[in-house]
Amino acid sequence: MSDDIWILRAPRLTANDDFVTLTRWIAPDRSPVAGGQPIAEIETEKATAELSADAAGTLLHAVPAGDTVPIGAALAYVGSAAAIEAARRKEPAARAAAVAAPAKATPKARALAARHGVDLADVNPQGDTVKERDVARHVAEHGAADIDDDPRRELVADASAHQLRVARDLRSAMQAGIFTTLAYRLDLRGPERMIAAELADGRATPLLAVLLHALGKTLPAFPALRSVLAHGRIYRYRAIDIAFAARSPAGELHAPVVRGVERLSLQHIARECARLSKRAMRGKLDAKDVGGACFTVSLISTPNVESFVALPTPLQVAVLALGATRRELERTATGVAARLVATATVTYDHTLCDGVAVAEFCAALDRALNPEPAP
Amino acid sequence: MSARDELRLAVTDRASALADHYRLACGIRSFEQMLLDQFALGRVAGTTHTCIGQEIAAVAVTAALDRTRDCVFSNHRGHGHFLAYCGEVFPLLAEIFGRPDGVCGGRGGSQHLHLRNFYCNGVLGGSVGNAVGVAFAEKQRRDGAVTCAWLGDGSFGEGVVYEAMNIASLWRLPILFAVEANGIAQTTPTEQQLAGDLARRCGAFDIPVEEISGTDVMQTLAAAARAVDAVRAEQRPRCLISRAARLGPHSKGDDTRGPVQLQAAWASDPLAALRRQAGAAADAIDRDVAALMQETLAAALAERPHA
Amino acid sequence: MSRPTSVLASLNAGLRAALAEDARVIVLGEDVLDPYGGAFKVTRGLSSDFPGRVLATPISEAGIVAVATGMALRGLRPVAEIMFGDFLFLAGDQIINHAAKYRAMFNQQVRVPLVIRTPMGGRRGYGPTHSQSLEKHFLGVPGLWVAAPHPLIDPGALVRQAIEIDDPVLVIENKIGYGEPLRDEVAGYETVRIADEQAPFATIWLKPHAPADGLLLCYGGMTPIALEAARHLRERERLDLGLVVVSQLAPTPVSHLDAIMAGTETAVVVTVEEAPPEGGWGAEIIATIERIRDARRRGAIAYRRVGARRAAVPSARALEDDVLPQVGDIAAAVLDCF
Repeated sequence: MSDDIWILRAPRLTANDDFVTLTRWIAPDRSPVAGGQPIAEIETEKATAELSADAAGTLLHAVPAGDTVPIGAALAYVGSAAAIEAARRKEPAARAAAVAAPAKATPKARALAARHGVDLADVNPQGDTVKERDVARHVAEHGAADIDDDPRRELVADASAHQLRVARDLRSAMQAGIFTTLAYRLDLRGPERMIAAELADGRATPLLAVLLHALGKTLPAFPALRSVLAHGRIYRYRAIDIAFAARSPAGELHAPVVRGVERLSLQHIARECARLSKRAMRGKLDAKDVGGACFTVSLISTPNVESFVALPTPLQVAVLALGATRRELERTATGVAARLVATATVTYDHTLCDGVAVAEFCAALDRALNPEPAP
Repeated sequence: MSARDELRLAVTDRASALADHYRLACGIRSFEQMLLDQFALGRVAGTTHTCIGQEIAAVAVTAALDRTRDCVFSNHRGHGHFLAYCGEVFPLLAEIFGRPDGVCGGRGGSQHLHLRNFYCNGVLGGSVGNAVGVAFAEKQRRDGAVTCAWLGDGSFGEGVVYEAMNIASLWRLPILFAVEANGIAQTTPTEQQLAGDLARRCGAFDIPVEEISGTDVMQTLAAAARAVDAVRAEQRPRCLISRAARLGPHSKGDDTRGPVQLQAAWASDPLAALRRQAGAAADAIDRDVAALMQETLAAALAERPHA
Repeated sequence: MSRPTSVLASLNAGLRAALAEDARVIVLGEDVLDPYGGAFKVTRGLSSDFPGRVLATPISEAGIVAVATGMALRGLRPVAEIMFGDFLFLAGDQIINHAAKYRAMFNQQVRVPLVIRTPMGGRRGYGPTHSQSLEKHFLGVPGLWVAAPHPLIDPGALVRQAIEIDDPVLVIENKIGYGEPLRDEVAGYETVRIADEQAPFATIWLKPHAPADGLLLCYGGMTPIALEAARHLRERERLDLGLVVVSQLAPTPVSHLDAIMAGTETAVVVTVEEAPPEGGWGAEIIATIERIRDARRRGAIAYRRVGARRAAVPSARALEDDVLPQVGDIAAAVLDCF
């Protein structure tokens, strides 16, 4: 039996979190696991993720569920029975190595933040620890409402970590830029034909995939739309990674990312969309499936939704929201034709690009979606 | 009726006649018996420890002291020591009755008395250590004072007594350890309490010790005088062990000795012997003492003065 | 002779001055003679310069205090040293049932001007019976004063003050505190000294220049640690704390606390002691302050007590550090109020 072992170490999910919490073991201790099998669920202040084994063998838990460990600490070992025991003895206990994740906020601060729905990560403390007065100041500055006892209102539940995260992200994004929206009527005849052609080949291709494919062709020419202004500096994303809004049956919003769409075929994009959507449905996205996108798209296909305005995502300059497809009549040289269209709105940060640029982008996107001239 | 400050017994010294010693000892006995009666009648609350049967040593040893400068440190069973020292019957009774005109304003009670150079404390053994400190201070003053520390054989269970004797001998202090070996500590006979020999304990500290019967006043006084003079002259401790049975209970009603044993003890009551030695004067003394106790009691039961 | 610069030097100088100026003063204890000069050197030099006034005793804590009590009854001013505060209970009966009681029992006819000095405290790995802070068990004994010197006052003057009081005074020194340098001022604070007839042992109140966010109260050996905690909180958490260092532990210096409460609007009070806080000094201070707050109709105050964990002090240094209160414990208790 090989002496090789593979060590699952706590990954860095986000820039600001130096610790992760192992919330749940998916594969039991000392069970056999296969390469690619999900084994653990982890969480930080900003993200949840599922971790999979990269090797096959017997799994050994290095920390109990509930433990918080620093990035890089060993969470599990996979290998032969003998090899994993030896490895565990050599590795200093993750628990001992971890300074208990410092309580960054006092109990009074937490209580006040909870009452006002304030995410502690948003509060700038005076000093190392968030104190009640820091939260109070934040509340005063941001006008969060105080909830008091009112018999006309009943408490339903604590907000989930995911909900709080989404709320925090939205607030942070809204504060980061000055957003406005441009609406554009996209011609969807090209996509209609493409989807029909794929279907004839036995491949079901969603409109989302076609849109992503077209964005992959369009965005390279519009660097402003894959930049972000932060701390007085302009950053540009190197790759065209696009997030799309996915909603679980329970109503949880996720934003999985298809990476490098400019390099991918339509079929590949479609497969990725399917894979990511399935995971999002279960709320089980991998760490590498989220974060770091330069652009977001959101589709609502409920009939009669003419258009909608999507809210921006932190660290992105624009988000495209596509309403329901509809048929519009137009005059042609030969009479009247009904063509498939939908209204796209682009909500963009005006500090980095203006309406004209966005309009040009939309026109270019339209051309990418409809490569043949309209009949 | 006499004024309160006339209600006192006459104290004795080395020159006193036997009859005078008897008067004082009889006075102590009558006081203690009167006190027990008052408790039985429910007129007094709290606790007290009478020295019935042990009056001789109290009178004799105190008579050997120089009241102008010598100090006395007694224990919980100190009424006899107190009355032999100063004779103040009314203040003592008033104190036990809790009156503001008592020796300590009613604050100390039976076990915590202080008057002039007389002190006592009710926690067993500790007073012996205090007495050693008193002796040190008096030695510093260089006025030749002797300190007399009273303790019973039961006290030799307390460690601080040994610490005190050790220091007294080491530092050569002018202190007389006057030990009343009455053979019993509360309800426990001494032989069930004390290993070895009482006198040899003193020898262990290089403290010269004399054992006397304690029932003959003149004999006891002579021995006490020898001891006190030696302490004063040599400026080092001495021990005098007198033996006399405690005829009464430890405090009240806590006497577990059988009637035969008690009867035997009473049969050799040293006070009775002293009475016989006092001769013809005894009757008159008895009457005077009885009258004094009656007056004192009446005064103690009378309306309290404003505090 | 130059001014003493450490707690130890100051105590030694204070005893020396007392012996020189009052013939009634006697120093006694175990191993106090030169050249050894006492287990912690507080009495060094004294037996040589004052022959017959500095007495070495056998190892008899009860006997030492008993004899000293007798001396005091007769007008001497004895200063008895108990080598380790942990041994104080050997003399407990003498302290409580004899020295502290004679004046009252004898209806004010006598005084017992006795001083007992003893060092408490751990942080040297001396183990469970040589590292305690037992002074809390002597607080609230009628007739007994308890005082504790510290680096922000003149310890020698405190001992002399104790000697001049006509009642028994228990002076609680600190084993590692002996080496602490004396300080008149602490940078960043205004020093206010409070003493009066009701409470003659002075309280030092360090007021930060900014309005205080809260008050830390401590005494004796915890003073340097409390100062360090205050510094940490100021620098890392931007919290400005006033520091009140008490030298009179019993009777409680109510008048001092009242004066402080009159001069501050604080809503956070944290007491710091080396002993386990249960039934201790901090509880007494908080009850007193709460009474004052109520009488002055002030708003609610958040209270915390910092002290040792409820355990025997272990011998191993790392284990001892875990039991005894550290800077981090004070910081955490303060932060908990914010």
